[in-house]
Amino acid sequence: MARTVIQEDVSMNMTPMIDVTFQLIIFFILVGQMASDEFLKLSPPHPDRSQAERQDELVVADRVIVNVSSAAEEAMADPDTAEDPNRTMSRAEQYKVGTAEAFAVSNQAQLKTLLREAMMEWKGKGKKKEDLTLQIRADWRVSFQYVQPVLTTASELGYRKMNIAAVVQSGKRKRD
Amino acid sequence: MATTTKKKIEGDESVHYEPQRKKRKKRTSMIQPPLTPMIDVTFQLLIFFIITTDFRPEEGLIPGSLPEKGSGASVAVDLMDIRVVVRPSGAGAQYLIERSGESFDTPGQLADFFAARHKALGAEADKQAIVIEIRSDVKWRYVTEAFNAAVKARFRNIGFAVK
Repeated sequence: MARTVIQEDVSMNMTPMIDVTFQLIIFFILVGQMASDEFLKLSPPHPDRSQAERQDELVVADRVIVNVSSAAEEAMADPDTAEDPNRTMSRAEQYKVGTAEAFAVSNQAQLKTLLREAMMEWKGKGKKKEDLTLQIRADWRVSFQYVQPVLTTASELGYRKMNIAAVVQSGKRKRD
Repeated sequence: MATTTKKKIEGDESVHYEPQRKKRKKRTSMIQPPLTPMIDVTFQLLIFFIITTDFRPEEGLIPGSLPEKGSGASVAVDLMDIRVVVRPSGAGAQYLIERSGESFDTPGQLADFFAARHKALGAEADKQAIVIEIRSDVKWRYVTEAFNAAVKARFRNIGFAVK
């Protein structure tokens, strides 16, 4: 009697794999924060027992962000730089005010112009200059000599409120 | 001779021939779009996100205030102010309390000093001004540490002065 061989088609069930893949994609889309147009790439300071409070992302209209980036970021990309590494680290590279283009730290006039324009725009909306907040976002490595002109210029233009950007202490949401 | 089926229609005496082929039920074929390109694109997207996502530490804000126009410090200089001089020291910074001459090498020690001072002042602590005097070559990190220590001790009147 001849044996009958039954051949079965074995195929993998693709549906769960596609489901998991889409889950991963949705996770990355939701979790990944797109870099804001107002931010420069820098490392903010991480104080001991940080009192920094998580900023309310929705309240953006009443602030002017001034970024002070470190030359160390550029130096890391070019290890053959002849400058003393310690000096490079404490030197600031660029300022960036709001969404305007970043510019060299030597251009103090541009810094004053942009801060003044932001204040004029604020006052043009009929609001008080004391309500406009200056948010300083500086790299932890830069010397204070590069941040001090920002404070001085803002003070001269009538800014009163100031926030300093720092890393939030992990596991903490409100100031203790 | 091929077998035939015969169908009878009511009221009709004749017998109608219906071939076998017609009697077989038609198999409905399922139309499925090709999944392979879709899976390929999905994995491409996933790889893109895995490679390009750059997680950064969560940033917050420490609130402060700026001095009045034209003045060099946030608060009027008062003999009773606590003046903290921040100056570079080796790889870090040193925090010197001008009035008492105490100096601290770590922000934690400075924070403990502020906390003790706040406790000693009691209700008068809100009126106490903290002036942080900074040498221009001090790194921003240590400036923030001094400011953070004063905020942590719940002092409200904190300002900068530049040396």
